[in-house]
Amino acid sequence: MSWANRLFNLFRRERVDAEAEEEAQFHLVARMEENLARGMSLEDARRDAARRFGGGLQARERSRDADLVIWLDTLARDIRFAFRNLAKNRGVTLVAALSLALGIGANTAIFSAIHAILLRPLPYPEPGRLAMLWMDNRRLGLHEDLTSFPNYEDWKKSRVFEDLAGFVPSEVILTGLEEPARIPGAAVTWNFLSVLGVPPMLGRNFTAEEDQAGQAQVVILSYGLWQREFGGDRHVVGKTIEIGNKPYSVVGVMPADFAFPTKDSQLWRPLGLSATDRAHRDGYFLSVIGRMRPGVTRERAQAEMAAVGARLEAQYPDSNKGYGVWVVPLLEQVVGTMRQVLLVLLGAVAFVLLIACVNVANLFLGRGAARGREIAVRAALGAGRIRLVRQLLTESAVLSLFAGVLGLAIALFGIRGLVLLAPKDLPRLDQIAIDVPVLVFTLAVSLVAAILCGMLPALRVSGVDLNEALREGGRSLAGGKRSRHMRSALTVAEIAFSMILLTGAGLMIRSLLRLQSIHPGFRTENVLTWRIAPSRTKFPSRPQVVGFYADLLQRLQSIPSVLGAGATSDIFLSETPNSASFSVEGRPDPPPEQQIEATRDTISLNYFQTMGVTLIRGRFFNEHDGPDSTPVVIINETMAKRFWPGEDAVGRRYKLGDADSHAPWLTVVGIVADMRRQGLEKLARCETFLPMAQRPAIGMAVVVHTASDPAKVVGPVRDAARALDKSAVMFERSTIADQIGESLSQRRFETLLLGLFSLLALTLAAVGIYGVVYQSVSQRTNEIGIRVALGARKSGLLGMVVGETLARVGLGAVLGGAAALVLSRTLSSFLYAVTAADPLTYAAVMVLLLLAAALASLIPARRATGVDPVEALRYE
Amino acid sequence: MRTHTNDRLQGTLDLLVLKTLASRGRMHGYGITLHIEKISEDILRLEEGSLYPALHRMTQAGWLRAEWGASEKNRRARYYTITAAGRRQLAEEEKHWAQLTEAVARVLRFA
Repeated sequence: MSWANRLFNLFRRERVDAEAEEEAQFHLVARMEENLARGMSLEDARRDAARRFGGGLQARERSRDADLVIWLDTLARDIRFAFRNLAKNRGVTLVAALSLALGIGANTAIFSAIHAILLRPLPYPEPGRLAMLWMDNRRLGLHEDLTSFPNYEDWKKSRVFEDLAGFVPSEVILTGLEEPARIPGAAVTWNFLSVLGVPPMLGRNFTAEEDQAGQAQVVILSYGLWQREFGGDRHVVGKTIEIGNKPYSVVGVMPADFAFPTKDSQLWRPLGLSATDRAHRDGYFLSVIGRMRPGVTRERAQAEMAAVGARLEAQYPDSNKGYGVWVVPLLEQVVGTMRQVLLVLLGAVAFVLLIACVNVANLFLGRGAARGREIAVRAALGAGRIRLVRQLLTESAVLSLFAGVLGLAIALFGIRGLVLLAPKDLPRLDQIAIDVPVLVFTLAVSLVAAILCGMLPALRVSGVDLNEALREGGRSLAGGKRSRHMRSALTVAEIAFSMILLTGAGLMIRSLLRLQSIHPGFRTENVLTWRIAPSRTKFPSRPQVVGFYADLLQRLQSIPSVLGAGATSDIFLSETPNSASFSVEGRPDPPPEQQIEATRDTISLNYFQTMGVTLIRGRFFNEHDGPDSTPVVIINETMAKRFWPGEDAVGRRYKLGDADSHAPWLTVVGIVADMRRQGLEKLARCETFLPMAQRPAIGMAVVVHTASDPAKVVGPVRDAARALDKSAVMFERSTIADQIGESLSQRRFETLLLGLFSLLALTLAAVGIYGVVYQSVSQRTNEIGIRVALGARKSGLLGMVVGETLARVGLGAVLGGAAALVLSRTLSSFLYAVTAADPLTYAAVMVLLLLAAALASLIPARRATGVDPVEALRYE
Repeated sequence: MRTHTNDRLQGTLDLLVLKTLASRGRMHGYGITLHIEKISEDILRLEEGSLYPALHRMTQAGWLRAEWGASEKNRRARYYTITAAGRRQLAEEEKHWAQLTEAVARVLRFA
């Protein structure tokens, strides 16, 4: 035989094989029918046909399953058969594939984010050993508070950490450029890079000597800064760079992917603390990172450090009373709250996929009607139950894998959307991509989906009673009681899943609405904010700085369309704002652990008026509050209520430190309404405001209230500042509205995604209901025809069909609601002013579901009841 | 080209199939089975499964032509017709069968 013939036969063999089988089947069926016609029972007819044929067919089936090659051959045949079948029912296939693809796509997109953000190791050697160490501030319930240098040195002695490094995230001002630029970075202890385990790409690390106060001024640059400022010059080491008008020499350049402590860190310099700073145990300014010894677990590190903290507490009660030590693995620190968000979203998309699977299972069950006879004959011919299940599962696997490919395409778009929508400070956002682990996940999800949506129908169809099936032409497979019950149960399940998701999204939306309706206590519209710092060389002394700001504000006020201008050291507060304890006149100091600290901010005249803050009692600052007059302070309402409850705080005095301190007394002259300066969710803390003239500050945030769009005054404001000091540094330009928007961005992101996924779930569930009702009414065309012929009214029939659906939907909604009550507890940390059992949300979601379900069942029901009874009866 | 001289049973099956198709024209496998059963009044009962390998072999040898068509109940079935080569083969087989039966009869008569 020629080579070509052999090759040809390789393909031909399969066809010959298939034809022979078809021929044999024809023979068997014909024999069976003849036997049946002679009055044999079905089982006898089948057995007789098989016996006469010689049992060849069954033997062939069995041997097929035993042999791997043949097994693969069967698989190939099953797959071809599946393709043929799926292609035959193009509409159903498309709807099913699209449902699954949406589910798989959503899962892939969320998993890619989880993989990039939560699972991928940090870009340091042995990143699992890195951890952040914080002061555990029990007084404020703040786990992650800064520490002092002496504490850091004592922590260093612990046996669980190989080494610790301290750092202070800080920004420097690069001068000597056309316009001064602000560069974020950190001041670090000299061993900082070696603790992280990343050496400079060029040059060297800092030395211990360089970390002494007043020593050589040296810096290490980020890759980006090196490229930008030195054009990637390989001989940059030894060159100088000007910071605050002083020369610093470059000793090293970091590799491109190094960015710590923040995403945008670009410059590192030694901390260079003075001897006094090194000695201050109550000067809390330092962040600490450590590398654990190999094999040390987080729990052991935490336990050990807690013991160290307790010892220090006992040894230095004045400074350390109420403080422990808190250890956070670095990955956890970087990921922060995103972990929970992503896990909730993963749960949400898992439900979406479940709904999609239920849809497909329902479609398959419904299609069992059309395939009933085929399957019954195959079973009658002796095809084993396992063989049939395998065939049907192959079909759902082919469908799922097809949907998986489609889902990948959807995920690609989804990821792009995810990155666009995500808050800008989301860690490791840029690393989200579809890579091998994500592909493996998609494949696994597709296969799980295949089993989920194929198993029920496959078992149902293959477990069918042959006698009944053949007699009824296979209708019992889909129309039978058991099958109908199963489809009802599936409908109930998908409604329950949708209910869970919609409830979660509803709660989040309610929270967001509540938050957005909160008035923060200050003006939010048309306020430009801009930090402006005069150069030290031109304004070296404090009175000069005060003069600069006073002049600047004067100039700003005279810009047309500016309604007011003011300045403050901080508009918003960080999570750990600078604060200090104080002693109230005429009262004994409380024990240290009960002391409450208050924040201190410097403000200009007119700041509160510009920001629209309400004065509750007393007065605002005025020109008479000068450097030499009585030290005065304005406090917020929370502080007034806390320290002078039921009294008038105006006129009272307090001083910083304890009762023996030499700090001057501060007289309260005014009380202002609380402002939500830590984000809309947080209530105000005790806050104090001091006049700029008495407590000057540099780099204040200037606020400008404008009549229209604040962007229009950007030019004039810059000109005004430059006119006073052409080397003034201007940074962080924004508006109050934008900053509030940013503070809500993560919440908005979570709410939007959860909302989108629950909308997707609702749509899929509606499509599912549509499909079920459509199939069920078309199977009942006969019954409906009889009813119409007997004079049933259309509206009554509609009511019957829709009512049946709504009963199931109602049941699903109740079950889903109960599950949501339990599950939405995982959401409670995301909720604001809404309980996880908020009745309004549950009611609204149920109404929404019922409406969607009514609509989805009404359309096919109308079609069915519109049939001509004669036509319907002839349908059989 | 007598490849199956020793395999009398197979030769017999071939003979029966060829004869059936020669007299009845176009038939499918099941029809052939029924015909042989009926004519022989159920004395000759085939193991029905073994009919098909024989049909395929004879088709390969060019004695039969196979084609797919619709059955009486409008199902797909494979129909066989005898070819000219098949008729020559039939004549040959008939001759051999006559010789054989005659030989056997003679032995039975005179032995």
